[in-house]
Amino acid sequence: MTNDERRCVTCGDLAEPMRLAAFDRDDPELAVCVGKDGTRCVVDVGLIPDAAPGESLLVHAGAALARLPQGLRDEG
Amino acid sequence: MRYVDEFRDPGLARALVGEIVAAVEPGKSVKLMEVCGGHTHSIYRYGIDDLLPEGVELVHGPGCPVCVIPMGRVDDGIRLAREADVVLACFGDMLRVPGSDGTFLDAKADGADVRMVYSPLDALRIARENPGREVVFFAIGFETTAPSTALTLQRAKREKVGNFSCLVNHVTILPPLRALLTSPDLRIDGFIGPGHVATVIGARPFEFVPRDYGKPLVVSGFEPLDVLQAIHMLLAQLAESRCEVENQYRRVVPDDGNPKALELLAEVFELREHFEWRGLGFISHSALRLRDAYGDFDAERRFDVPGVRVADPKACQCGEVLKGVIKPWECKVFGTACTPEHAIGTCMVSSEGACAAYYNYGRFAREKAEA
Repeated sequence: MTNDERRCVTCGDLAEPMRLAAFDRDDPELAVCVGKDGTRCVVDVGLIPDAAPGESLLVHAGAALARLPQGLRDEG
Repeated sequence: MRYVDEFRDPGLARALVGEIVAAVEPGKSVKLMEVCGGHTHSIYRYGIDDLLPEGVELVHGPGCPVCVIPMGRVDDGIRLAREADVVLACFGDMLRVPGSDGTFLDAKADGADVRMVYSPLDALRIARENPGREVVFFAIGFETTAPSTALTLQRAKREKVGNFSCLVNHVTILPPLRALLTSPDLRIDGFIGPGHVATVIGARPFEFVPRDYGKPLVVSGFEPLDVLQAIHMLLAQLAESRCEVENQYRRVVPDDGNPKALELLAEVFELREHFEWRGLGFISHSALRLRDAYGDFDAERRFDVPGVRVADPKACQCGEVLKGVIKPWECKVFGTACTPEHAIGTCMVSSEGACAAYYNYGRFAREKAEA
C-alpha cells in the first residue's frame, strides 16, 4: 500500500508516477526513483530507452513501464 | 500537484457528468464493464458510481490478479513455504488470499518463512543475502506485472543467482475477456479497457472486442476524470452507432504498447495450454510459464509442486461477481461471513477486488440510500 491511499501498487493494474532521481553507480538499468509522497525506491528502468534523471516514469512493481509526458519534474 | 490534480478537478468532473447525463436517452439503460480492478477501486474510492445517472450501470470485471488466483495455486505456494529451507516471497495482498487450508499469513504464523515484498527485485535481494536458503517468488499479475518478474529473472540469470526461483501465476487479459464475451450470462454494452495492461501490450490488441463481438471499448486511465471521460466516450459511441477501440489514456498508452517489454516477455515466458481462473474455470492460453531457457528458475521444475485442483467454497460467489452477473452486495456472504478481515472469497481480499472496494467505500452510501 502507498502511505496515503488504501490501494496496492504492486499487484493490481496500478502504477505510480515517479521521478528518476539518480542511476545506480554499478548498474545502469537500476535507478532511484521518487514518488509524489517522497517515497524513494530502486526501480529497474531497462524497459525505457535512454531514460534520464529528472524524467517522470510510470512505475509498477519495481519496473518502469512508460515515460510520462510531464509531471513530477514540474513539482521539484 | 500537476498531473494528478488536473485529473481530479471537481468542476471538470461536474461538467463531464452533465455530458454523461445528456448522452443517455431517457428510459434507456446501458451496462458498462470495467475490466480492471484498478478501475473498480477508483470508481468506489471517488464515488463515481454515485455520480452516474440511473441509466448507466457499471459492472465489475475479472481484472484483479489476486482475485482470480485459484485455491489450488495458493495451496501450492503454501506447500513450498512450509519446506524447511525455503523463503517464500510475495506481494502484500497475496498474503491473505485463502487456500483450502489457510493463507500465507497462517503459514507464517505456523513458522514458515513468508516475506512480503514490493517487487520481484526485493525477492532477488533476499536470495543474494541468504545464499544457504531457497528463495521462491510467488509471481502474480497481468501483463502489467509480468515485465517486472521477467526483468528480475533476466538479472538472476545474468548474475547466476542459484537459489532464486519463481512460482509463476502471471495471467493475460485477452483470453478471459474473450471468454466473458462468449458467456451467455453476459449483457454488457461496452468496456472500459485496462490502462496499465495497455501500457505494455498497447491498445491495438483489444480490437477483437468491437470487430468480433460488436462491443465498443475505451482504454482508460485511473483518475476520476479519466474514468468519467471513458464512460462518456463509450456512451458517445453507442449514441452514434460507432463500435471501435478508443484510447482515452493516450498520455501514457501507445497503440503498440512498450515494444521492449513485449520482446522481454516473449524471451522469458511462453503461454500455458490451460490455466484455472477462480470462478471462471479453465481458460486456454490465458497464463504464462517460464521458457526452457529459464527452467532453472522455475519453482515448478525445481520443487515437488502438487498442482492439485481445489474447488471454491460453496458459499462464495466470486465467479458471478467476476463475470459481472451479480453485484458484490448480492453475494450471500458479503459483509457477514465474508469481510476484508476474514475473507472467504478472493474478491474481498485485494483492495482492487470488487467486494473489498465496495465494502470499503460503497456500502455506506447504499445503506443510507435504502434507509
